[in-house]
Amino acid sequence: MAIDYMPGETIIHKLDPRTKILWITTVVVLTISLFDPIFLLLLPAALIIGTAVIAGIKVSKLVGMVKPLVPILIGFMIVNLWYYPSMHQATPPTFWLVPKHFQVSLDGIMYSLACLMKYVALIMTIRLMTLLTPIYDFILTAMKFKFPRSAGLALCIGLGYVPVLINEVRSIKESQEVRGWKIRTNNPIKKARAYAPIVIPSIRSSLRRGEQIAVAIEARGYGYDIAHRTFRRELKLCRKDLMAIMFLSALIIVGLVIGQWGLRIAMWTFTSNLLRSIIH
Amino acid sequence: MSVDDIVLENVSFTYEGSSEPAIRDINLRIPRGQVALVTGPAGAGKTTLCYCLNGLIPNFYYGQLTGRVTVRGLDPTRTSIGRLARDVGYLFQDPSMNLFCPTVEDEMAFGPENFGLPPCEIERRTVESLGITRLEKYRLRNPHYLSGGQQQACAVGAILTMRSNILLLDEPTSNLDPLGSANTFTLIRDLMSREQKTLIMVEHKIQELAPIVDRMIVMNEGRIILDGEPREVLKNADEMESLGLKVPHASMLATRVIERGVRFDNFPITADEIAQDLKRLMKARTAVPRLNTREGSTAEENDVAIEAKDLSHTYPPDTAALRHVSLTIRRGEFIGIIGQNGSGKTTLVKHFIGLLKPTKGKVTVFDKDISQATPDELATRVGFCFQNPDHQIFSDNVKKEIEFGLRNIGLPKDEIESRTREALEKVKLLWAIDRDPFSLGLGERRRLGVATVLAMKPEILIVDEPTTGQDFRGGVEIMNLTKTLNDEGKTVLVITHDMELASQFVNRVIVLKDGEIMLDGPTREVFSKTDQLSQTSIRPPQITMIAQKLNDYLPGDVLSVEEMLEVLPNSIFGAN
Repeated sequence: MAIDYMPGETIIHKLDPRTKILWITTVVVLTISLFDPIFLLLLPAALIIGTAVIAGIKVSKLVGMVKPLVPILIGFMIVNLWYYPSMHQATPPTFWLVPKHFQVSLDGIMYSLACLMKYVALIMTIRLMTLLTPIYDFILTAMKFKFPRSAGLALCIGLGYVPVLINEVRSIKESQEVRGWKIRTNNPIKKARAYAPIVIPSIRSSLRRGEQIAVAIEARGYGYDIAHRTFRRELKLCRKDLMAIMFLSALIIVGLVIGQWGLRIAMWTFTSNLLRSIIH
Repeated sequence: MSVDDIVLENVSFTYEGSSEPAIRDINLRIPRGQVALVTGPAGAGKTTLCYCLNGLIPNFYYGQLTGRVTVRGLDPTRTSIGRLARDVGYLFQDPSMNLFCPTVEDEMAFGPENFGLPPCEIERRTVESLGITRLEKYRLRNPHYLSGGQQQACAVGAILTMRSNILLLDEPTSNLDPLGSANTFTLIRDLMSREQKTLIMVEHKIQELAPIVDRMIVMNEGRIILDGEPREVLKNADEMESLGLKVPHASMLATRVIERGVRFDNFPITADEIAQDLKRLMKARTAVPRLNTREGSTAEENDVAIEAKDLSHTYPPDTAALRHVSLTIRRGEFIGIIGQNGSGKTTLVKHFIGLLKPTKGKVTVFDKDISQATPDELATRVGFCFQNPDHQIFSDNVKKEIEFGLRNIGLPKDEIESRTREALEKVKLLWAIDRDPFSLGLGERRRLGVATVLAMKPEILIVDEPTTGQDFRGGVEIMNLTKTLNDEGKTVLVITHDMELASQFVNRVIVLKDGEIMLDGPTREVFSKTDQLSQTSIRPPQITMIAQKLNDYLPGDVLSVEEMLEVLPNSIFGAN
């Protein structure tokens, strides 16, 4: 599941969710502005892996997340390689991957590699954050930025119910299976209709739960004085957060300067030129 | 003079859309610090009474409320539910309604947060509650992943942090296994000795609570029919039993013995009390009589219905739910499967209908290897009644609901028609054939659930906890039904936490503990092994415990009040 928080006591876990959101922003800005494999490795990749290591999360867990996407990524790489020469003037060295049809250049390889790294980095970032931050922290953050409090609470409660609902749907399915229920068709319309015995009790039960929760939270004093309700976990930025924020901001500036805005040195030609000068 | 925390004067309430009042003419005063047990059959108005006290009536559930309710000086009709919550902590009957926060800690802090208390105070109360409920270790767990007893403890803890002066506990143990119930009762006893709170409990488990409460209130059809000290109220054991309540065997036996001329100084309500009294009467020890038991197992020569050989089941990643279970069930047996939650009962029976496949070992049902069968193939041979009938109901009338299974197995139209009527006849629901299933009461829906399975004409019937969501009488109804089917030759397996039901009906009991078979034998034999049962926190029926206490005089394997009367020496009747 995508929201499986991994509890921990590391410095990263203890950061304020807002700092963590800045962390995501930093990785995103860096990956967007940098367009060269070496720079991507030096900045965003190092940032992601470094964070994972400090947080005690095995890099293999992150790699595992990317694994199912490998076929798509390979396809993506090939498409990039294919299109590159038609977009840019092919500077040598070049060679034919499929004679007369598929020409590949060193620049092209670097460009495709950079694209690939960007995607992987973005996927890993999101994954890493959901592992390190309870989803409720994000909701709290949202409430800090004027997201309605009652809606935030509703979201928290809804998420708390996920395990209950999963169990319920499972037992509904079993109840029908023992009455001989089985999908016996491949026709999509018939198939959808065949799911009625599962879907109807599930919907009814979640509607009923909705009403039950409304009663339940009232009985626990929810309507007492909503405007002055205490939110126990008030978000507070502490020294760790300030230091992290300064560090991340610096990275963003560096990224922007060497990437898109200023020097524009972090383009894919950087590595290919470097390789060329080594070869010659 | 003590202050009354709760005063009800001529209170009646009719839910919107209903023609009959749910409670009528209730007059009740509960003084501060009193501990009261409210009991009565399903539909007696117990929960409605609770809703009147915490303001859900009339602020959430609309209807016509007459008479006057006063709760710690407040009038619920003019007070918000939130304000009343500061005075009345309410534990809902449905456990999933008590727990809705992501962690145990959040759950306990929820109430005080609503009251706008400062975080340090909330923390203090949370820590205290965690201590009382012994949940310190689980502070950051999702409450839904705790055991049943711990979930209930967490729910109680979440009410304690509100520091309400009145606690209303609506069937705090109804969905718990014996261990969870025992733990909850211990928690309640702790609370009673710690704090001077007004405590009102709605419960069916009179046996456990009567000895510890100050007052007992019996409701029926919306009225209070008995009210007083438990010892006084229980003198009406016959009347209570006729309402379908589970009267402690001690009081039932006492009533029978009194009829025969024995007098007690104090009407006994616990096993210890009556055992003491009877011991005194039986001073002269005579030879221990033997029970004239009729049950010789006739099933022994029958052919094998289910066979499990060295069955193990492991849920991923590595939860061993069953370990090396071997058993043989013959055609026509009536078996009770008991054990705590997590002992593997449901996992075991799910193998008998192909919902689960063995991780190791082999299960055969009528010589068919289960690992090659699917539930829908087995549906005509094995019927499985789940606990919650609402999980399967999806049609808008009773007839279609039953036909669903029959159409799944591809029966012809006229066969479907006749089987539907036959099944409804058996569960006494033929009158409801064209009704909307949800217009029926829960007990009736439960029977409808059984009918949907019966219509498939299975040779083996498995019933998961016949008492869920019902009172004792509802459970007895289902058991009577299965008894009839068993008499017709069907093999019946019942999973239950209710030892009285098991002892009354089944011929063979299988006790599971930690995924292994701990005991397996004739009901009488299993229930007399008190020591072994206590290892898994199961207590045999109270009458068996009374007999065991009188082991020097009587056989220790008595299973019912009638049997007890049979073996009691005649000399005690009319002796004093």
